[in-house]
Amino acid sequence: MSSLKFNHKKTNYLLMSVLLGFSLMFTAGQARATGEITAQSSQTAEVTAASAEATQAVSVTAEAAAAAETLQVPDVPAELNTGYTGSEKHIKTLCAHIIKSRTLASKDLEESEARVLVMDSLAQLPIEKLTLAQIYVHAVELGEKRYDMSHSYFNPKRSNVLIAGILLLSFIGYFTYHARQGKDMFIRKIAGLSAIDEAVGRATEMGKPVLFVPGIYDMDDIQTIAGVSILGHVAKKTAEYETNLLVPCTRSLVMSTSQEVVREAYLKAGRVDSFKPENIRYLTDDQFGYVAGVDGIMMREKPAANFYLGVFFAESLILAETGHHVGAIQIAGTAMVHQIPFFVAACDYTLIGEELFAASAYLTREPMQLGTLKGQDVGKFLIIIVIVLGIVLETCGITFFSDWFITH
Amino acid sequence: MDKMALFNGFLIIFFIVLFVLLIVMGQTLRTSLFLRRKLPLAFCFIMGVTMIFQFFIPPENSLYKEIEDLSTKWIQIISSFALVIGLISLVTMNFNKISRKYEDWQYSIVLLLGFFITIFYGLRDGFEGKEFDFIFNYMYVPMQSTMFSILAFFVASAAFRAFRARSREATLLLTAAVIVMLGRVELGSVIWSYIPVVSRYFDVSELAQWINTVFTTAGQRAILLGASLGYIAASFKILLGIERSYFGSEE
Amino acid sequence: MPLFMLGLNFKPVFETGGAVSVEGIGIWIAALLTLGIYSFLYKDNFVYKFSEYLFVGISAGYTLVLTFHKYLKPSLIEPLQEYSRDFYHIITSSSFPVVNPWMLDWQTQLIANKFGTQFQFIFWFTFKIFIFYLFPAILGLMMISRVIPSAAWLSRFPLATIVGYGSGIVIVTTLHASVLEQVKASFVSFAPLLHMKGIDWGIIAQSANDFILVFGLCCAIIYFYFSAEHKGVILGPASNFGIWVLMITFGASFGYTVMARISLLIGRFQFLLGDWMQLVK
Repeated sequence: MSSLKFNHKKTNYLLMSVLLGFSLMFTAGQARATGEITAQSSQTAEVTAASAEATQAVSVTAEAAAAAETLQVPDVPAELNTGYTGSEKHIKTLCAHIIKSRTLASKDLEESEARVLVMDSLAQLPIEKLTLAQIYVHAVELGEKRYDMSHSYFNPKRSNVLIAGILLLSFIGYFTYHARQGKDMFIRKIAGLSAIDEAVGRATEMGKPVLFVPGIYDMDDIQTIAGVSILGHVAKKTAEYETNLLVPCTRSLVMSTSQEVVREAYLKAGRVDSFKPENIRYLTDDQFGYVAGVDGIMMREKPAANFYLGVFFAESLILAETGHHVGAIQIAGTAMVHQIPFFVAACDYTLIGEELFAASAYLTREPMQLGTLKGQDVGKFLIIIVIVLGIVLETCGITFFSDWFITH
Repeated sequence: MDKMALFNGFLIIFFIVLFVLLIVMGQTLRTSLFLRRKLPLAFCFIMGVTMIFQFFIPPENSLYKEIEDLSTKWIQIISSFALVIGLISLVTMNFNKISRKYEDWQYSIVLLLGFFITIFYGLRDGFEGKEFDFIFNYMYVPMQSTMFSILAFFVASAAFRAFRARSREATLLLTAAVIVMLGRVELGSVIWSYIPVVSRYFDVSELAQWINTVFTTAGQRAILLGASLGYIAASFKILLGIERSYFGSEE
Repeated sequence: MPLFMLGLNFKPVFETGGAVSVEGIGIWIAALLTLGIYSFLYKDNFVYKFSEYLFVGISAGYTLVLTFHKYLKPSLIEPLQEYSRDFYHIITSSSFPVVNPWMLDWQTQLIANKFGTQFQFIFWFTFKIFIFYLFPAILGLMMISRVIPSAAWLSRFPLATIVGYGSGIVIVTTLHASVLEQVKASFVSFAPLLHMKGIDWGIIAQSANDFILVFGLCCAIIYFYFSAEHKGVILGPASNFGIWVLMITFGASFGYTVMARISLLIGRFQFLLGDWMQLVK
């Protein structure tokens, strides 16, 4: 497993990544620039004979006209057609209307921000004989300019996500880096993962196959990836014990990935001739069609050990109960909150939520993986501290801390 | 129309030529470690960083939508092509089963017939076709909902088995389940009134409500928070290439 | 024995005029397949095997049809056709209308001499087609290259792309939707308890509930703590209580779902008894 060490000296792929990233952003930027030109030039597009013939061209022009209209002065509510007296009530009405105005509604303005807009427009407008409507129009225009983020590349409302992300990732990164220097780390026993060897051993003794279900989501879900990495470990055991391993898949990509992972495990165990790619098969993308197929496999092959690791929905209990009826020892793991109860009720061992993601570190005992786990633990500790701090501040009536956590 | 047919033919030939070129390239370059190991990881890294970058762009900036559209299109196209691999595996496996007369080979004929008839009508007429509609409404949907409804039996049998469980955890699970079940139906409060002592002080639907608002919230939130940390750490490992077991063999 | 003698009145397969009723046949097939799948509850048998294989076949076919019409056609085939047709019309300066808004814009600029040379146009066209359509299509073809073992390594590129896409999205969305929101929701306030005048049982009960919630939450988080043995004065009892909270959660969740699942079964029986056997209306 030495090949898994992170080689930071090899910068060539970093270079490549920068190049590709630039090309991607360049294209997107090009798309944006051309899009803007469309909005400007389509008003004059009638001039060209070719475009006048096209029926779609008319709709494009109409869209552009509609887009241009929204940029004009916003509709003024009838309520505002009165003179401005400077009273607090008037300012409040103005703020309420500004927040709701068509062009600023998507910006989620707070009342204090709207108030600043009103004050700024008052300072810029002539002092005498102002109506509420005038102030409203000016403030909305001011707001449009001030809160226009169409050329900005960072959304300040999401800065809390950025800070929280940097904080958590730096913990994880720090411990991952430290782990590389060979510090040994303790990891508590996870019953479900320790039982894997026992389950495969039992299947071998009984001369029955092992069934592995990698969930019903595709490879873009982290739970599936975690499941597939456990599959590697299970395959290593079945290769050593020369037991049949059945992996029915509901996604094509998961099937080809599983084939690679299992082949690798058999290769490492030196049993590559007993690897049967046809045992890792694709059934169908349909949730219940897949369940029908897996149930059929269970009834006919009578596996002695079943693994359900990945994303599961309603099928969790159908699979687990059928597995129980054929007398298999069952190990399940998922982070789907609503399906864990069924696995707990019907399986022998269940990896609850985070335990599924810890599996990779637990089984391989690689220092870097263990380091990441340590980082996660520190993250949990941090969350508890933040919750306690938040409660104390909230009880004392200080709200800025909890306001920071509001997501947009 | 003729021009379109010509173009479609050209497109198909183009993709076939492209595929052949790719295969030739794959065979000649297969010894390059850079291409085999580093470049795929770079793809993974760029894709991930781009998606993170996209999240922080203000939605008013058109780049936000552009990246979103582009990436979803890419994923759609790639997974559409990937489906072919699965279907090839399904069809060849069942053909083998029939030609070698393995156990239950007759049913494989049913599978292949169902498969090919569905794609024939589906690809020919789209979703509007009469035959496709028949297959969808009278075969696909009923079987799907029947499979789903089997859950009712299994929920019952799993609950029955849990009744016999002896550990402290299982008892807690079962007690909570029974209280919530009783609290949700009319009949529940009648049954509840036969339980001595407890029923005098607590109303079952209120108790169920209390369990839901206090314990379920706490438990689900804890699982969610833990799993989120797991998600984040796992994604971090994947993006940096620390976790790459999903690639399979290194050679 | 004829079924009507039993008082049963099944959905007729023939209409009154003697013509075959499509709906009647459909309902018969659906009912038999439904029974076929239910027969699995008794034991594995040939009717279930038939239904199962048919179901897998049809749903795999349906997946292909869905993927083709919903994804492949609108995001690859149709745009390629449209773009190439427009490209042909622009290059040959034909009088046919250009359909795609993007291409229309380019044509307008070309005619108004704002775009530059035709060579530049061809360059940008190729570039756009490559990034939006050809590159993902090449990645897709790399996936298919798995059928030839010596070129199978090419499938790592599309796989890495999809995995990277998923990982990137997951980091930010979980932080956004799970971590920050759930942490914020846990900031309960005990201020009413501190400012309580006299004894108000409502406030006391509310605060007690809040306390149990937060305490249970923290203990359950401690249960997920991996890098220390769950022993000692704090970790031991806390993680034990955490397990209890989780078990109560699972039980409640289980009890909550039972009812919903039974209603599904009722739906199927309504079909069998109503639409097919016509016993209940």
